Amino acid sequence: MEISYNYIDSLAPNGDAIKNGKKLAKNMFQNRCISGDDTVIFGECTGSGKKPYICSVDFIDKNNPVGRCSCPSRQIPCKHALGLMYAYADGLSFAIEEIPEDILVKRGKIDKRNENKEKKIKEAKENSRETAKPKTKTQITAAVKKINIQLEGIALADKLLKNILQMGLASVDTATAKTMDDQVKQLGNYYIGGIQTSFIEIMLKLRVMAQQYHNSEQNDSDNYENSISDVLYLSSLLKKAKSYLTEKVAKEEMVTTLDTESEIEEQIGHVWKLEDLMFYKKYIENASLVQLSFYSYDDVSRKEYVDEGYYICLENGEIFKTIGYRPYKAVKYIKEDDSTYGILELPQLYIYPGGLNKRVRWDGYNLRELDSVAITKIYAMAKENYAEVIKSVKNQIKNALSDKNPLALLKISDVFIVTEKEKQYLQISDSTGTKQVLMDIGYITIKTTGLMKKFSKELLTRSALLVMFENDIESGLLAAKPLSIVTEHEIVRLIY
Amino acid sequence: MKIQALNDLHNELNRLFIAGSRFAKGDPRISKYIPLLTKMGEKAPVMKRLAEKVNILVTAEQNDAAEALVDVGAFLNSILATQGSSSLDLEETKIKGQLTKYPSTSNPYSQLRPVIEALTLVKPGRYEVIVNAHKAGQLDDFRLYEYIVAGLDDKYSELANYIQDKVIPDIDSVFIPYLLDTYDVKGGRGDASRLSLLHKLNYDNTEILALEAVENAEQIVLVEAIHILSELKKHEKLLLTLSKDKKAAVREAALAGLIKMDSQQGKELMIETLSGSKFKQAVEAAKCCREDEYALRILSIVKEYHDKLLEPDLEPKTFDKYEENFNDIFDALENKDQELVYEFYIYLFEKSGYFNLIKNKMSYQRDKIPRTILFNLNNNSSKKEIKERELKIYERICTKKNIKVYPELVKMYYNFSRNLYTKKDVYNIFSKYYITGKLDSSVIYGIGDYPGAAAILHLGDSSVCNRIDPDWQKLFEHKKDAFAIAARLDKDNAKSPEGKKNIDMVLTFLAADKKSGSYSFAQRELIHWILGITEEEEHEKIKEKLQYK
Repeated sequence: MEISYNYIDSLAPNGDAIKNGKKLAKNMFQNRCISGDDTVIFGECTGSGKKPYICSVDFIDKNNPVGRCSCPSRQIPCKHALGLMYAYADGLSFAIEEIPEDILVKRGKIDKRNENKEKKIKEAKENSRETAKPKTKTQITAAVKKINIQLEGIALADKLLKNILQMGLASVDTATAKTMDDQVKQLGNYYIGGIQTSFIEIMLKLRVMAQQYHNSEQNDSDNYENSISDVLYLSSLLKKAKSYLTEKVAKEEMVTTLDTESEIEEQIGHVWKLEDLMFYKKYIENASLVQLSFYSYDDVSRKEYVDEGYYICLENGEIFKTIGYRPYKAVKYIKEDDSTYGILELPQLYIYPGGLNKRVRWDGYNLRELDSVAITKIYAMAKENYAEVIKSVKNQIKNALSDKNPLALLKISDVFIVTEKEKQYLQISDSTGTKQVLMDIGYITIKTTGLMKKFSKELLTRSALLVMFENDIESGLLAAKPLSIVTEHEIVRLIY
Repeated sequence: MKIQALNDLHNELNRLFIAGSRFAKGDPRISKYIPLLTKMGEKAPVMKRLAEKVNILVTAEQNDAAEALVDVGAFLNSILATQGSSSLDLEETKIKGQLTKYPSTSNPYSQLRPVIEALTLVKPGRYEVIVNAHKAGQLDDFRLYEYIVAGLDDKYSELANYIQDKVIPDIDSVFIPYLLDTYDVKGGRGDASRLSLLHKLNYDNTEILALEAVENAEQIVLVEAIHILSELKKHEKLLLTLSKDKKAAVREAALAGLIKMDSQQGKELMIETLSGSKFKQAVEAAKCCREDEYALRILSIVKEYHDKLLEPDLEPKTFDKYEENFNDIFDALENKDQELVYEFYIYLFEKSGYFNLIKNKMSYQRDKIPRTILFNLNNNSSKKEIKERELKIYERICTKKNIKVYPELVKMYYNFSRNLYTKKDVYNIFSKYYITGKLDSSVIYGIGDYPGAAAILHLGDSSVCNRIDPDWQKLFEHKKDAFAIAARLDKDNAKSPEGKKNIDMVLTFLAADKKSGSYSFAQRELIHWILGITEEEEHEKIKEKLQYK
């Protein structure tokens, strides 16, 4: 069994766990053992308690090692399990021992759980939307009741928003923001979590503005630009949600179904489960994904960290997104995502409803090394006609409720510099001469265009570029931010 | 295509969002767009719809205005989203990038993010993050280069210095374009570092940059430029001119530069300045001068300042001023490897009476001269024969009287001598310092392997035995048990009857071993260990037993 340091790092929930695990690996393990079949390592680690912690890492499923430990930590794997793996990777001696009884029992439980999961998947496949049994009267009544509550909540949210707009965003001071917060809190009783979050975001931004005003800091209309965009998003959402739910509640056959064509369900507050996606046939079987880029940021208004992965599907060239949320409160216990460098082979790739770059997730995967065939394939999948891409991007972003930062992989035919007011911008073009300006815009704060400028024209014109679009109303530019470069032989990441 | 009127309307609507929709009715700043949009609507129906929506807004009653405002705002945004131009219609120039190969970007987010944060955010532990990442080879990633170069301007100077001294030189010339891109000749400390690094990385045009800095730079970059130019004898004239500059730092750097380039005129100028009232400006230059003739002239100037200090009946203020001057000019003896200079050191310790005069000063003032002497002795010891001579100087200055004030002297002496003397000689010389309490046990191991009390527990280790004379073990034997007992104690077992008995044993040993009214460093370590594992209410009792304050 071979375990690399990088692989162990990728399993760790956060950087501190890596650091602590490495420290423990050196000399804190009293017994280090490995099973004869090389599938489990286990040992005892000295901790702050009287008795040493008994910990193990089971590699029976090579792609999904299970760390177990008797310590009270809620991190999985904990620093002790990580330390044990680092000790193994360091080449420290491990005595060959029988697999402990409790691990065998737990393996049995996992097998049973996997069986149940497979059964569920099988059932979900069989029990799809087309073949599902009609809903019972009780289920329909419950659904109608829920929708009516949602409509009540939407009416309340609408009233709150209108009140703010009537008085003006600048009228929100710290005192009124506090009163509004209480009212926004009440929205939590109406099954409209998505709407509530949007409202919280607006209130947070307005509170910051109020604070700036209080501190006599600069507070001009530019600073309100973001809040106004959020207000427009929320008002559009309220309008669409109201008409969607009203229509839904009016037709009995629609009451228990979910809209899978748009993101409205999620935007109102629905949390998609894998079974839902399976039920609505929102999945691809045996898909292969390659991560082209990764970014993580702190969403202060949502009080959580957001990890985003940008992947290309080797089967159809679609660019997908993964989004992982780590609320501040649980940040220690939720694994932080990281850059992934191989090919993810997925038995099922679940796809959320959405626009150009749909959100995806999966449950179990096999990681294979990224080979030259796959890279060449990715390069060949890059879009050669910018006009088509730009058209679809504009079509998406004109919708107030859509993702405003679509991604695309563009093949570069030419690249040059244009200068405006002493600022130099990179501009790429396709074989027809359609141009696309590159800028450091959007919510990704890491600057990348400067890195691009270091490369020669010859190199760049043999490459494709993963970009994120953003439309800047003020400048009237639909600009693209470079995230990664793809050639026939390599993927060069400009962020993470 | 950008339509200015739409952007203007967008700004007006934003104003209304901020001020409140209650002001919408009849707002002339918004109404004025209706005719224009209506006219545009003759060709584009979408503009007609926009005009209608704007009209609804400016005619709406207060209660309906909010609805009308978001309606027109969302509609206008949707139009503007389709109007965005994806390119800039400007003159195109060729990209100047030189790299013909893409670098590897295999460092994952989990490794890069802490480094970027450490280089961009102000938070504790940044220095360690950068040092560890550098040691692990994680900084050689082109995505980090801009951040690393920006780190040269970091307000935390230790971090900026580490980047300048270690990180960039290790990764090498790949940084040259990044340094050039961000170099500002009129800039500050970070730009001086950039210039210095460009020189260090053998950038071809460093001399041109340095000459440009002489013309245009502010003080700090100019000083760096002088350092660079001082490597080329052809710039002697320029440096002579700069040695008369109105800025003291520039004069100082130019003078040092002249000495480095072995300028005869520079040396005379240095001696002249060192003899005058602005002598401080020549100290750096004097440090660089190793030539016998000038070394002795420098020594005689230093001696003059020393003698002034010893003049009888000096006013306290005058004494303080003379003393400050002596401390400053003493640095000029750096790099002076002359017999007379060493004799002066010994004279200072043995006969001058200088140390008696300053014995009541604050420690940093009191230690300045001995520390400089130790530094100079170590600094000059590149050859074995020189070392032997300096050992003799150590022997002379490590008298009982002196080490009472400067125990540091013995440690330096020990480290200096253990590579030259036999183990037995080392024992014979230094055990007497230990017995008289001037040397703690950690010194036996050189620097830092087992500091403090723990050192005694490792006397038997083979790695230690090989380095020291066996007599050291005998010297510490009677203490070893007590230290071993103490090391086995912890907070839990210290409360048990057995633990209390052991603590009593160690305390008895410590009280009996106390020398000349004070505890050695090792003993103090042991006392703090015992205090750490015992209850707070017992501390007074323990301190009383040990007569420890």
